[in-house]
Amino acid sequence: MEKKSPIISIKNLHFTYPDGTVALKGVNLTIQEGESIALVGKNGSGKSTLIKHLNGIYQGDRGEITVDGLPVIEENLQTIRGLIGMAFQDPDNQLFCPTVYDDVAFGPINMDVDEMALHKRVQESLEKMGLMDLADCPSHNLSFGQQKRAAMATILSMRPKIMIFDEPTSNLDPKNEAVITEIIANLPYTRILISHDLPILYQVCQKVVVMDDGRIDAIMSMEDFITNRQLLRKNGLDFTFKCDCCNGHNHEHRHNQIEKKSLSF
Amino acid sequence: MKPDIDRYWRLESPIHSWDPRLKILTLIILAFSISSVHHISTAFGCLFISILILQLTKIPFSFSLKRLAAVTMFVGPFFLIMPLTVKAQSGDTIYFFTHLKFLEINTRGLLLAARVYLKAVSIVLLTVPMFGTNRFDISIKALERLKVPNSIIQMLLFSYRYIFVFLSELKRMSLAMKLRKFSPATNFHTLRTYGNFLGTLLVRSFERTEEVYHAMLSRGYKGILKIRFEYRAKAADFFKSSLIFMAIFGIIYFDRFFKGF
Ligand SMILES: Nc1ncnc2c1ncn2[C@@H]1O[C@H](COP(=O)(O)OP(=O)(O)O)[C@@H](O)[C@H]1O
Ligand SMILES: [Mg+2]
Repeated sequence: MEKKSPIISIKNLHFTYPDGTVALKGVNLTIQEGESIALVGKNGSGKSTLIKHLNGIYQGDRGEITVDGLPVIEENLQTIRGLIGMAFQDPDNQLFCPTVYDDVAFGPINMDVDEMALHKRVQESLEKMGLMDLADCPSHNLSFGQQKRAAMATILSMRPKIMIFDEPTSNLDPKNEAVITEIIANLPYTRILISHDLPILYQVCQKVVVMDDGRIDAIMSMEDFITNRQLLRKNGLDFTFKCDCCNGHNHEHRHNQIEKKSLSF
Repeated sequence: MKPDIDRYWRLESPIHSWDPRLKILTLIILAFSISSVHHISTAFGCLFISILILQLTKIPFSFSLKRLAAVTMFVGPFFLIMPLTVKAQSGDTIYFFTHLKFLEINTRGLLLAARVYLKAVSIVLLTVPMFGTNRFDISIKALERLKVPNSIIQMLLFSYRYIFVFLSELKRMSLAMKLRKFSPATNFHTLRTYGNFLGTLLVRSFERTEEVYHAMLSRGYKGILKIRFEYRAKAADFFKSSLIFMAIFGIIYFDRFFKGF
């Protein structure tokens, strides 16, 4: 389509865990700048493993990855990690500093952001996530919803080009879920979203990448995906289970659209 | 059950306002000089000094008392063992039972045990003013300024962090066990359940710490912890340190040259 080089390109990626589990069996994927990708698939299909290759936490046995034109190899890792903000599934694991403020500052400090700019970035990120009052709190004293938001602030402060979220709304109460969804939906970045929650995927992503058993099973538009009930069900995403969770969000017309399509089956 | 040594860091006291670097350095030297004490009377003096410093912090004494439980568990047995095992010297008083002649109780052993206990208590009490009067990370950062290697600093910081991982995993799992109506009894089933519990706890904690490490790498961590904190030592900080150094001098002098009691 476009002549521009892709922001992420994965070619024939294979990966085996040290214990012998073959987790990726030849993944090919290209993502353009500004795209929002829904990465779906059954548990254990390799989604989390795949995203950890993008910033070099794991290095494939075979294959090639480039991020923003840079091959993911040792000497580029620091630059690439500054380009990718990655929010892990369990926020408790993402918060390891003594206070929320320190956690939000951790990324920029590693990127050698200078003192003045650092403070501004941290303040901004905390403000965006509504955590100004909790800046000096130890993160283990926060509620789960607050931890999720704090974890998000820790990557906002890095000002990445690409943001990756692994199950951002799992185990959240409806109120925090709405807040997080809203924020992710409005971020001006290239986004990759792993989730079993169809409403959020639908609200954020235009493109769906389906993984199965360490391979990419299908790549399609969101419209095609949500009308393919069989595929939805196969990937544990049948929206009839989750329909009531759209209540209170400001996207009624989309919600209606989903329901209309569900009636046609 | 929280390992919150820094729970009272927000209080205000002369110890809290003391520059963390000078404070830690001075109190560590004090702790070493306490450990070198030979006379029980000096050991009592040390305990008095520790309690005095502790009182200055305004931290409730009950908080510090809890830390003594571990020392007592560790040193307590000395009171039983040392009177029975210390080699008799001239001038020792020895008690024995007429029917159990092999059981000789040497009162000097009791005195030795008391000295060890007093010194241990004095030192353990000092950890509260040392690390309980600043946020834990600031104390640790102070250690870095004192040229403690970065790898040790990180170990300290992360073991502190991992204690919370471990505890939250422990809480989650014991709740799950309660919900499934597990009630312990003296049988094989209970033993096996506890075994599984412990195994799972370790594996889960390990998996989680690995995930924490991945999250750190993702945010540009390169194996060196970059610490930004400005310490400023004022005249008052040096004054406080010199008071303690006078006490240290007093302890050593008294211990060497005072031959009384
Ligand atoms: N640390 C690990 N060691 C060994 N095998 C692992 C590890 N993490 C994940 N796996 C295995 O790799 C496969 C893919 O896992 P994962 O990427 O977590 O899937 P998903 O995120 O899609 O649920 C699964 O079979 C899983 O059991
Ligand atoms: Mg996963």
